[in-house]
Amino acid sequence: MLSQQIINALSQGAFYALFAAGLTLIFGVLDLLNMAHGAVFMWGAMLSWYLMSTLGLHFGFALLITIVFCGLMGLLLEHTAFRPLRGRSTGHLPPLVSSLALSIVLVHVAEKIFGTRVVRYPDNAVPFASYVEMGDAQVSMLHLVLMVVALVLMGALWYMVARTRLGRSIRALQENPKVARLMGVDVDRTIAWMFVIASVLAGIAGVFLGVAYNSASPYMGHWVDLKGFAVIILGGMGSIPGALLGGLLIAFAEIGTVVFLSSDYRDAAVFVVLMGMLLLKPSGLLGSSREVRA
Amino acid sequence: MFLRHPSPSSIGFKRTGRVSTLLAVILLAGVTVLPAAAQDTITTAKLGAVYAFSGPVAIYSTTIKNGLDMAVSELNAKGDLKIDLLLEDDRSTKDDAINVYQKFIQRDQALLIFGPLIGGQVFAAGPLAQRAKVPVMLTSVATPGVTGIGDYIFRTSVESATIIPATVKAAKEQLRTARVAQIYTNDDQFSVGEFKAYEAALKANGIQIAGAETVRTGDVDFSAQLTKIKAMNVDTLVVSSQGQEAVGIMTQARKLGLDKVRFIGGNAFNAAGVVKEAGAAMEGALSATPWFLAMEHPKNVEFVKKYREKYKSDPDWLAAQTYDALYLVKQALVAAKIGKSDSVAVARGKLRDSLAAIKTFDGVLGKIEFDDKRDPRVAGAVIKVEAGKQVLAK
Repeated sequence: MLSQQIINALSQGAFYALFAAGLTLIFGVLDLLNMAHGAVFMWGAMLSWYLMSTLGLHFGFALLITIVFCGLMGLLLEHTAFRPLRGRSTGHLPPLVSSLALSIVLVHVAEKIFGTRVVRYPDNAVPFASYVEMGDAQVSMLHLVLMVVALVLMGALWYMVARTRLGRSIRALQENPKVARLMGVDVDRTIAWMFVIASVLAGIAGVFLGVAYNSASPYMGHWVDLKGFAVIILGGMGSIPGALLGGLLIAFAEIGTVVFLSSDYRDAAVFVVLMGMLLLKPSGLLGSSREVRA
Repeated sequence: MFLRHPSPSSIGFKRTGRVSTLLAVILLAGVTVLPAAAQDTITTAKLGAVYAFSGPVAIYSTTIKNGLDMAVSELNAKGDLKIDLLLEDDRSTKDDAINVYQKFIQRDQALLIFGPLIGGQVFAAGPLAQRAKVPVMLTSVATPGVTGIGDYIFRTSVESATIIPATVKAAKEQLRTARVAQIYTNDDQFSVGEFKAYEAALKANGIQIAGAETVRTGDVDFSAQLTKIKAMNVDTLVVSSQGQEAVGIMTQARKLGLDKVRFIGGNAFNAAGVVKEAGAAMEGALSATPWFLAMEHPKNVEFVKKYREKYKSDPDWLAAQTYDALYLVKQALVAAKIGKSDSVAVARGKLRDSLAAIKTFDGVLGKIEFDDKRDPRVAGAVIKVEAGKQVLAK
């Protein structure tokens, strides 16, 4: 049974990591918490459900359309909740509130369009529905695919930041936005791209989570937001490998609690781990400590 | 606001003259009217009904409204005492339930209030009615303890925990259940209540409980808990959760290789939507319900027939409980002998006493017995999922 639990934890961890990757990208560079990340994630799940069930589209097409849609949603998010505040020296709170406001709007619109109840994906539309036996563990192909997709996407994200032109702009921005602008980095454009990328990742996470657990609702973003923040704090804010590590650590903490302690303490255990990390290494597992200099 | 009580200062010294004149007029009028009216009883009773006709839980109110409409039109066709039913929407919120209660109590002077839909709303609005001494009849709230708000709160809605022993008995006899695990939503009061009722009933029947696992409202991944349960080697899993978690638990259990385990559950299992969404995973599952479409006593057969003719769809337990509540209130209204000249306060008091005096009632739910806390007890029925359909378990 332990092998089954390890598989359970790995697939859960992969999902947390995928969700948190976009959050950590924005936070690491802009020092901003994007409270609407969970809402975009929810739209990914709900829209793909709508495309697959009501319009009867194939999973692949639904995924593609959802990716485009969530990318555009990232653009909208950046233009409405973050860009107008960027020129003003407003501090951290206004963007936090404006993105929270937008997330509430997005949830309400979803309620109107998709209804308020939990929806299930049509049986025949779910891809990779087979199972493989690994020892005494039953592993869903879909969960394996989710793990691979999460790894590949996070690898690609890391490569993008570390090796590409856009990545160089992002890193310059992280170093010092003013200097980056003087050096010819198109700051607005770079930030807009970051939101597009982050939102696409959230959307993909939404599609896969919805399909993997066959469940989606307009309110599914709330709990994921909270877990996502825990993941990036644990892994080190702004670190992409940190998000992967943080996601896995939280999943193992959750499932370890169920196995060795009691399912009653599952959520509490996550936040105990989190607080322990804050006491021992406030910058997180892989985060670089940013000291405040006079 | 129009609902505010006049404060003592607002009817203070300056107005004494006007108030006493008014009192004199009222007294004179009373003296002339009273002797003649004392023998006459009212011919129309104004009652209020507040349910969630919009908002997140509005889905439950459709059949309730049908039950109300059907019962009122039948009762008013008889002609002895007409019911004037005022319908209001609380948009699924506590705040609006309170507002509507205040409107019914003070402006409309309703004799009794039906609803609201869910326990949380009743705990918010119910005390207002209790303070104002207005009888309340709940037709949907299965949450334990709502009638504890006070002696003006009544209900025809059956606490699912009270019929859970029937499920355990049926499981023991029909499924030969001997060793079970329990799983429940530990942040949902209703599910915790069902879990405890199951635990007690299982122990009373000598069934071994191998362990209990918990989930939280909104969870979608139950694999860790179910994997743990798989290792317990049980023949039956007892599920005490609301619909969406129950569906997830049952479908994921099958995917994790719990092929032979049977499910028994609470109220959530009775919902047709849950049976449909859980599909093949739920085959053979047992649950008890206060009311079931195929119950064979004559009142129910007739109710189902009339309902189908009128609404071209099947009633559910909420329609049945609401329909019975209207008939019950009508019976109490007639027995109360409310005089035409009775003040609203007197009329409400008479109606309350009359309702409290009814100890058994034969309705669509079968024979309802009211205990000393005004909570209904029914025999109910145990239902089984067979080929994806709910049937009476025999």
